[in-house]
Amino acid sequence: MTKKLISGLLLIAVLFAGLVFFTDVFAEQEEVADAAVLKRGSTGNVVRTIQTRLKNWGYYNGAVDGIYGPKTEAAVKYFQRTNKLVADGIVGPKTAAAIGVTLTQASAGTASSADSYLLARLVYAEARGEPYTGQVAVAAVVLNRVRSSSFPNTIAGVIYQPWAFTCVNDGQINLTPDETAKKAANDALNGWDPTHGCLYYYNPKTATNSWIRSKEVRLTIGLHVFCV
Amino acid sequence: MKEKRPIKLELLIGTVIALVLVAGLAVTLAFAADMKEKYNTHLDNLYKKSFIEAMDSIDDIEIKLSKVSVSEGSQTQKTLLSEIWMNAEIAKNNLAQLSGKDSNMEKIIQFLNQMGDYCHCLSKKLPDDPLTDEEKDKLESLYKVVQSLKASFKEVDEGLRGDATFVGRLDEGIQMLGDCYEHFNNDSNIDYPEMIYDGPFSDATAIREAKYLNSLPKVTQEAAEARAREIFKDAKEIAFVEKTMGSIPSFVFSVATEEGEGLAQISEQGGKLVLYTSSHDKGGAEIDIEEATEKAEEVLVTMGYENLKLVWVTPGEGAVYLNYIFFHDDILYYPDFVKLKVGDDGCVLAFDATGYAYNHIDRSLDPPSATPEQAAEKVSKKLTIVETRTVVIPTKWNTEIFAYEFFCEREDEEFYVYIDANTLEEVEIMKVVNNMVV
Repeated sequence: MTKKLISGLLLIAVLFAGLVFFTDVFAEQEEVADAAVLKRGSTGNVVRTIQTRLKNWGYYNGAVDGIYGPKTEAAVKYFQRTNKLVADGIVGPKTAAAIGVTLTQASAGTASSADSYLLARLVYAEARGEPYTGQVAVAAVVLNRVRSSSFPNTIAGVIYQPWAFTCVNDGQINLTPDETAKKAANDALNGWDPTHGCLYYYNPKTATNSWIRSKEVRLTIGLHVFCV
Repeated sequence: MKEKRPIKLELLIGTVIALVLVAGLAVTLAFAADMKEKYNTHLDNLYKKSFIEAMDSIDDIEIKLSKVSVSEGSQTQKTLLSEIWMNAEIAKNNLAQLSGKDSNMEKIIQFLNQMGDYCHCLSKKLPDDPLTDEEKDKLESLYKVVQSLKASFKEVDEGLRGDATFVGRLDEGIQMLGDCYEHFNNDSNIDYPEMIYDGPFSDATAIREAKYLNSLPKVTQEAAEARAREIFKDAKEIAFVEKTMGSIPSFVFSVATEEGEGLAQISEQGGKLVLYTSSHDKGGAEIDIEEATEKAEEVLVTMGYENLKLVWVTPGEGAVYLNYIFFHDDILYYPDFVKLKVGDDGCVLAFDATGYAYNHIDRSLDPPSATPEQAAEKVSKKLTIVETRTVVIPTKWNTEIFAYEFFCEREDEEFYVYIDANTLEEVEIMKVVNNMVV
């Protein structure tokens, strides 16, 4: 019995040591972008660069719109024939090299900047479980504050303003956001604002602050009311 | 002799382990307390740094505003005003770090933002366009407000010269500042000038009118619901949620489709779909842009938005964002935008016509006084012009500029340069970064 006690104590000691030494050692892994080819249906910056080059060199006479449509495809084929490449109308590594563009940073296009990730974290911490539009709306409130004269004018400034968001105070902001939160943050960054300029939101069932309750409510989405 | 030794040994070992654990715990707790003390000191130092920087900047602003009021030279005024803008930025950023739990510091931040922004706008027009009497008066009243702000901060500063800390008694510490914020919010002796000017923080930007929608007749909730059913033909269920207020009063409907849940806002004025967002969990398939464009254009026609031109495409996760702009008589009207998000299965996942709702009117512009060739002369010689368009662009304070747009490149970089079509002034430069225009 004493042995059991001893081994029990030892186990606790080991766990205790483990707790002290092995917390917070998990770091997030960076996502690696895939190399890609550009073909009909592709879009983005690199497509625009290709169109610009082909236009300057006289292969292309369509619009420089970043959309790899039939005209761009025809221009690429024309370029490939002239330059003794396989005329398949697809910009692979060889054609890309001949045009002088790099494909490694191709049109993956998802905004993976620090700002959009931080915004997704806030959305996840504040509004996971809310309807999708409610999540976009929370992200939009942050962006409305960035534009407002009454708040700091950067995304990090707004989010980390002390006491502005409860999830920042209790550390939930550091949870890893899910795909929905990321999509909602991206929609807001692309200009969607279901609140039409609201600067605040709260849950009327739990909010105790009388000051926030005095604000003019504009709309309700899920559990949150949004106000100015 | 009784054999008791083994038990004693076990007891001894047990006691030793217990003692080691207790000692370990004590050391850990002491260590934690020490760490807490260090964190507190570190945080307090950061708070104090923020406070002192904010105070210093406000002192500087006060001195510079008083210099501006006695300065007669446009160049001196220009330098002082742009320095005030910089000081206001520093003060604002630092003060924002000193928000308290219940402190309402919006007014103080708004004041610093607007004052800085106003000084910045005035500095831009100098020295060619001298300050008017009205502008000088406004600077004078801003000076008085800054004096009052400085005085109330001084009290906090004196408190902190004792042993007061911000963090040690967090709520109390911030409360000292909170009193300043309250004073600033409620003191009727502070005379705030009206801040309407050509800048992004002008009071004028808060007042927005949905010009397009307001030209259309009102619809009832029933009519709006009928409209929603027309637009979302394949919806399983459409239900009224609420009526919203604000600059675009709307009827909100929840829309359930095979793919997910969405929320649609139909305007009371005109019964137009203004905003729609929906969740959609499909993804991964490759998006065919032509298909997405076809689908988007079909939807735009159903909704009664016409003469739109696709100008920008941003690929997103499992979806693509398409930006349409009103195009008429070879002029692109950027303020009148409609955006769509189309999923990889061709579904319209989101729709936004707020730009169009706010800005679209019959503008009947006079022909520009400058030609595109004259404007092209104003574009940097370092750039190669690829495409020229006649456009109307919005400013950050909700006005519009008639301009020529030059899409240019320099090696791997791409720019959009905007030259005022009447004054030939270079009004805006946008750069393409990661497929976004910034």
